[in-house]
Amino acid sequence: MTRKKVAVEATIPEQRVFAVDSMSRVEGEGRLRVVVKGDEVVEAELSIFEAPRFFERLVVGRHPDQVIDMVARICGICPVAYQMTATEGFERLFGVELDANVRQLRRLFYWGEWLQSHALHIYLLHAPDFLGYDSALDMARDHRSIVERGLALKQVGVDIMALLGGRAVHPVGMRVGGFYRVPTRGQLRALLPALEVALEDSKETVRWTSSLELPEFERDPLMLSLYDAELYALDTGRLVTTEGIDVDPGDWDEAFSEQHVEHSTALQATSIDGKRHLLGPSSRVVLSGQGLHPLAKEALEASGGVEIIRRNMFASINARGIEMIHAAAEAIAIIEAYEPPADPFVSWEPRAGKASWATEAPRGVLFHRYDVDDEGRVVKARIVPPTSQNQAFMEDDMRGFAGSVLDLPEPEAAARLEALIRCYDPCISCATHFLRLEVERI
Amino acid sequence: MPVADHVPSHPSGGTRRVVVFACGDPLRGDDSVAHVACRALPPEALARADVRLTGALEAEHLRDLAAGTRAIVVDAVVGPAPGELVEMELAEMGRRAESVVTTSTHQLPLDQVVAIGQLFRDEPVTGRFIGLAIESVQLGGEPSESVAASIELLTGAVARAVSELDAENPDT
Repeated sequence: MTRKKVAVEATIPEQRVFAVDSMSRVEGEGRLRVVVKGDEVVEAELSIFEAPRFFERLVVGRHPDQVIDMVARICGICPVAYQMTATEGFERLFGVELDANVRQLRRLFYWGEWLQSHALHIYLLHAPDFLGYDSALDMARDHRSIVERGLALKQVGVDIMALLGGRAVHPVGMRVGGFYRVPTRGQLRALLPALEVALEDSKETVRWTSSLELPEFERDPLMLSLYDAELYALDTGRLVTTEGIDVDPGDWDEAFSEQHVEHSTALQATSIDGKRHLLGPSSRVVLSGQGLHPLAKEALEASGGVEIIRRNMFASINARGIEMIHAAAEAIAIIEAYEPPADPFVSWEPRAGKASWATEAPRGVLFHRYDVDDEGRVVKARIVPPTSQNQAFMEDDMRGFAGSVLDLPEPEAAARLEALIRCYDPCISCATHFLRLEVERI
Repeated sequence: MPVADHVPSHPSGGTRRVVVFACGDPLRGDDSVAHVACRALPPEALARADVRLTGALEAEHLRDLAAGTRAIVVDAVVGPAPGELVEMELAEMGRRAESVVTTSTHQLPLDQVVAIGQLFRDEPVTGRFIGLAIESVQLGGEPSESVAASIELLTGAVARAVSELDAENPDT
């Protein structure tokens, strides 16, 4: 996992360029640049030099169970998302029918990741923006009990991941066809007390986040998420958008495409007709909200309803809280109903073809496609992380939002723009390791 | 004492009073230095410390240490010449957090993690940060030449720190 070291760059007065640099000990660079002419924002570019593309080559020649261990290394925050997406793609190609309890364990595994990822983002990364703190440390000094609640929520997610994955970071417990081993009923039930607390803490999270003052920034976004009529869509259903795209998750690449843009070595994804979409918690709550647990629906209504989440990107902090309620509630239900399967996995036979699927990573739709030979070895791979898909939309939002902060002192304007970018929870490990925010007035 | 390949979420509270957190990603070239160095610790150091390999230090890791436990955080650092050893007390690292502003959307800087971990304890953790300056973290790469040549130094520094912290621990 990567950790960032930070330095602040000096102002260049004549051009009014100001920047916040963060230096990392990993390869790669991302930069956010806004150019303002008079009162008009003429350019907003997010440049990402991304590392995951190496993985598309690394997995070539590998067998499926090697692939799922390798792709878990793409991200230290959401390794389960990468494993789930790859595994389910292979299973669909090979015609694997999972035991119902194994399928539920998969969802539980994923909810664990969502809990830890959302808690980390809400409490340690995003909330300081709303409360006027430079860092989680400053916030923790004044709001210790709030930050401790966040750490406790995160820990519950970590514990679920560690139990099912063998370890929380870069887990190794899953395999094509199921898991290498499954927990006993007692091992799972031992998580229940902490999950009951997490459920109450998640409700409190939403009460708290919905009391935060949101910056005024409203727009009418196109949105993309999985949709399942029966469930809160995680790894099943259809890929849908607000303007009517409706495809099988394995056919993402028939409805969407990636393009190189001049200012970035990363690829940007749009729909085939060039439309830019928002992914992640806000989109899921809007498009897939009918599948939320009743407790999450109740919190959604009490916190102001779905419309504010749809229109104001800063309300994504509420959407994450609402998803934590769902994650905790469904995790409890899964554990209470759990019956250990006769076998932790089912065997499978490889076949040549396209193994592709999309699932909902904490920060949005993640698509994998593997072309495999008749022995199951990967011939060609394609991994489209959520941040790549959100990138073009983030630029649009930057362009729309920047005008409202132009009159602020430059450091404050930069901080506001950064706060907007944090709303998307862009995946540094997956898509960028160096964020440079630059505003240029010409 | 075997090296744990992850940090247990609920530490068992073993008898060893020194815990070594080796941080980094073994797949990313020089970022593997802490893991490599700590796996090579001599038996006498392994007998006196719990060594836990992790991707990154979390505030909870420090917060949850039993009272009186000494901690050693081992990680790669940037800035000094590759191969250079960097050592500082954890208390000093926590103070550095005051001047650090993060733009990360995904991770807290190590300084802040240490400071938050300390903030949530009744008594601060005594311990040391030991880093090795690195050159390249190319995905899939081997440690670079200059850094690989210094891993033994890092192992030696960690072993020394284990010995010193264990000896000064009044509960030992």
